Amino acid sequence: MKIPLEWLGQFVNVKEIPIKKLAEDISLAICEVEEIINPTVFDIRIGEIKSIKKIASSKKLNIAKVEVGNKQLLNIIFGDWFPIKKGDRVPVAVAPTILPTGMKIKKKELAGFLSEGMLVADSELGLNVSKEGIIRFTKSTKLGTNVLQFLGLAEILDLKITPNRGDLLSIYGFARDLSAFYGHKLNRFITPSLNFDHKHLTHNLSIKVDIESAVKRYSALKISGIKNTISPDWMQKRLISAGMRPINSVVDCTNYVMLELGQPLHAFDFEKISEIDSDRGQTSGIREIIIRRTKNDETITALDENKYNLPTGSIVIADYKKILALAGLIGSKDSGVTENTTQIVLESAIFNPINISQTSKALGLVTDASQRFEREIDSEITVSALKRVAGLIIEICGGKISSEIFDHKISHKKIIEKIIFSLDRLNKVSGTNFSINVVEKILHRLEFQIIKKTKKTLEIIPPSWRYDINLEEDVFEEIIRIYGYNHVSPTLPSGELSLSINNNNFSLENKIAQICSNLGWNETQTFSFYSPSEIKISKISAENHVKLQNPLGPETSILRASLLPGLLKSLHKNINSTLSDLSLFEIGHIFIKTNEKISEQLYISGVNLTANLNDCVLHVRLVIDQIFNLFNSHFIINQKLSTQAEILQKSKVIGTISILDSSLVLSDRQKRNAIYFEINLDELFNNQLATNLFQEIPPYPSVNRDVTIIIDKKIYLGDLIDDLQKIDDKIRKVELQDIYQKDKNDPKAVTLRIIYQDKDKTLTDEEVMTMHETVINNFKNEHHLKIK
Amino acid sequence: MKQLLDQIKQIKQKVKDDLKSKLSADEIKNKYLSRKGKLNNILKNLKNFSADEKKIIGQEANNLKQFIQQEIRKLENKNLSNVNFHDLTIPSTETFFGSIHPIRSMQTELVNIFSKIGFDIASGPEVETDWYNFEALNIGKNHPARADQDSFYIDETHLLRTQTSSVQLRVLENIKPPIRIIAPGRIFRRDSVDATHTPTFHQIEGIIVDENITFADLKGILTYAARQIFSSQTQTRFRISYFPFVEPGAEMDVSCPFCVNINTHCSVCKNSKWIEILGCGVVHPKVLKNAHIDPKKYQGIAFGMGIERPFMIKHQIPSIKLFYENDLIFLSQFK
Repeated sequence: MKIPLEWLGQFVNVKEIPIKKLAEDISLAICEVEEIINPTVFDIRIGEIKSIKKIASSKKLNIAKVEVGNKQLLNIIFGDWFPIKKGDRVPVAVAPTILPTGMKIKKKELAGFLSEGMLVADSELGLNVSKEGIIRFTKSTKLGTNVLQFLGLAEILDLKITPNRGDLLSIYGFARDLSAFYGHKLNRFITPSLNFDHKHLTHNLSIKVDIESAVKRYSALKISGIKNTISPDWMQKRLISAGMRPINSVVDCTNYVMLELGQPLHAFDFEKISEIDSDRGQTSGIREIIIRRTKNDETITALDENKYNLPTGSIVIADYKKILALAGLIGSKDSGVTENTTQIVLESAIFNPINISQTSKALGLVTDASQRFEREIDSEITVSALKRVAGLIIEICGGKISSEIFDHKISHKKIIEKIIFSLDRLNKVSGTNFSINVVEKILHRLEFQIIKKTKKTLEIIPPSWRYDINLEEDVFEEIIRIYGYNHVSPTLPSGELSLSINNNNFSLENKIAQICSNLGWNETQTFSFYSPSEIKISKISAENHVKLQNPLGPETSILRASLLPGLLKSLHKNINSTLSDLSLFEIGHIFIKTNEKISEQLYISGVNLTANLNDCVLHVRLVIDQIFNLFNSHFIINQKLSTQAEILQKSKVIGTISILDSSLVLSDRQKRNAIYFEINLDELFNNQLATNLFQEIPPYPSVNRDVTIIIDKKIYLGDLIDDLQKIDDKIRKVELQDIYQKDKNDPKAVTLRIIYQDKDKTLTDEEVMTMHETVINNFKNEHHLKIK
Repeated sequence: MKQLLDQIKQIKQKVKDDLKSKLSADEIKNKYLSRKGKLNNILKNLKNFSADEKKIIGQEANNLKQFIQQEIRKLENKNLSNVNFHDLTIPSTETFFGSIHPIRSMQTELVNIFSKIGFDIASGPEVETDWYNFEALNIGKNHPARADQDSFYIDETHLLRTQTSSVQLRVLENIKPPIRIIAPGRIFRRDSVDATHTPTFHQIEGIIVDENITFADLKGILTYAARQIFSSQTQTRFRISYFPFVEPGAEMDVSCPFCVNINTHCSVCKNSKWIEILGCGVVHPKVLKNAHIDPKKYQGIAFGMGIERPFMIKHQIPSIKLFYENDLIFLSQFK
């Protein structure tokens, strides 16, 4: 919402406050200030096009000589977006400067020519001034004039109003809150009195409200004999400053009063409302407005030239033949006022915010009116706003009031709820020490009614425009914000610590990430969705994938059931910038759908890219071993396919290791091998052992013996080592020392170190030798392996 | 100032020339680094410059000093005897080092800060029900606040959570006050990718429920956290804001850690001196009621902050996209 300070000044005097301070105060206590727009910082001038030439080397570009005041001539290159001709006077940004949109304008070369500025379109001015998209000035203007100042822009505050504060969506409403904040006097809006001359009343308008529940109030009034022209300068300037495009004086007046008071208003062309047929088939002369809900399949062609299919049950303003307007959102093209309109019906109504919000969402249509209706409108202002706009129109367009004021008030009157305020609770919640006098003063400034008062409690009624104040806590916020959030001194909490959550998964996850990182792996984070084409890569069936109802696009429409597709994306991002090993991992949630239930699990996945396949296996295995080691947890690798193995813990599969098919690793110039692993961390965390108990340190020394075996056939080293440990309980550990393979197809020479230890005595040489012999024989006889 | 910087450059060139003409280590030391050496001559003029200029010149002079010292060391090394020679300068052959993703680093940093003042860690699912993500937090079906958080829906009742506040109710329902928890996690909003938006990002939520926890405590805790994250000099300010699940509601700004000099343009805070960092407030009584906690007996404070944003501010990262593109050149800058 744009607040021109000049307009604000009509209701509250803040002239003495420097604009930066004003903006800061507002942002602390009222709402966020997105921007202070100050026209003088933008060097945008009225310039005249003196000549235009097409640039031969370019399809779209032209070069113009433009006079920008003081006989200064600039070369400016511009495209074909707007029809510009010699003699046109348009806004010209003179380099170097910036535009209100933040765009920087510098001198620059385009198609071999130097451009010393830019012709500025409305959108780049941050305004909405002309129909063509670029404003044109008349010959009477002075060349070189600052365009924004010429358009009447003094300083403007651009505010972001939170959805609870509908009452701030008007200049008056905002001024009201600001005056309460500063304790300044508010120049109150006074409802004008209108002249009703009975001889002008035509008695040919009827209004019927068919739906009580969705219309809180409907007031209307007819004016005849107007001449709809262009609005006066002062009004145009204020509208433009507030971000609205002047259209014609009737429409401008309705917009003006909406901006001023916050009540959306609409004007219908009376003559475009159908006459009711009388009994004898002749026209009755009476035109009727009906407020009703839409039936199935109704449409409207709106003022914005779009045709909307209306959801059933939306509120519309209609006559008995056609829809005149979609309530609270937009008028129909056919019922709108034009320059030829002489009789109008003005509408000032309050519609049910939920209905408006539902229709707005269904149509994807948000208007200045709908935003205000959704945030609720002061029910006390409807008729005042109607009188205000009628008065303005008669002042500008002439005409006479030709109907009574219709005021249909639905009597499901909100029982005014009083709020019991307790000073003790305020101080207990805020952690400060307010006195009842300070509270009273603040509430008084905010126009709360205090109906009963004791030493420590107040009975209060909030003002009619504050729909957001329903509870005592809402009142607390009012008091603290006006007093100043930053006047509350910070403290640190006392009180007991909670002992109820003892969840160390976060730190375990961190430890695992640290292990991977220490081993040279880089952690990645990817989006939680992928495209249907990536389902195949995940090796999890399409039925087990969760689909999003409203994805941003098809390529992000499936929730990930595997971290692999994301990892591959990260891999490809780096594949040719890293020429040696590449190790990436990600820890994140995956989503699996079974029987319409979604299960969410925490996984770690990693992919390693290494030239030599054995090295690749070792790399991956090291990480897995270290992760399980963190939990003192035993696991088994069970290879089922030639390129894939399962990781089992307590005979449950909790992960996999697989060699990725080269078709998944795209455009790797080095043709490296890729191995992928994944472990279900939720499972791993659940299987955590209880606290480790101390195990005695063996008092007798261990003895190592190395053996090198030649593996020339299909044999799993993992299983071999497992078997080995079962031969004798004095074999404490078997460690892999080295794998040597001259060439891919050569046999592997594998050196194992066997550690013998007896917990009851020192092993003799003979005992070790006998055991080691058994081991060697086991290799030879059971596995038919050669020993080196 | 430029003159002085040029002189520094010239000295560097002279040192190189002297090295070529085989001056000894002592000679170079004398010529450049002694009390009456060339470098000191330059530094003598330093007092005539502004603080900012001193900083720049000082930096350059220091670089030069280090360069000269290293060259002197190399010369001296050459004179070591060849007997019993061992090379201790051999680098590691590791071609790259691993790294922790910046999001995790920031998450851990924040968790550690809040752990120090007694917060436990809680978590919740990323696929959430409408109840926990919206309704229970006082955001009804037609609440305008829903429009600000465009969500990804899975079906009528399930969506990808739009805020870690969804963990609030899950915790409040399950444990009895006093409650003091934080919940870091991934959240989702239906935003197209640009420099400040990604459809996936991260937040950390905090909530305390106790008999006497106050708005003043909220300010104290968050000011403490801000100083831990940025610096002990960091100032905070609290502004009015609106989140349906807190009342009073606020946003916290921290003083811009980068614009020390008032006269230069600051690209981080756009010269406002403040950076918006989080939303917070006193837990709305409806939220407590929804969790069957008596709002007359207990009160709560809560806050939620982004993970990527403070990291971006601290490290001056220009685009949030970088976090999810996983370029190793980006990732390996942070450990």
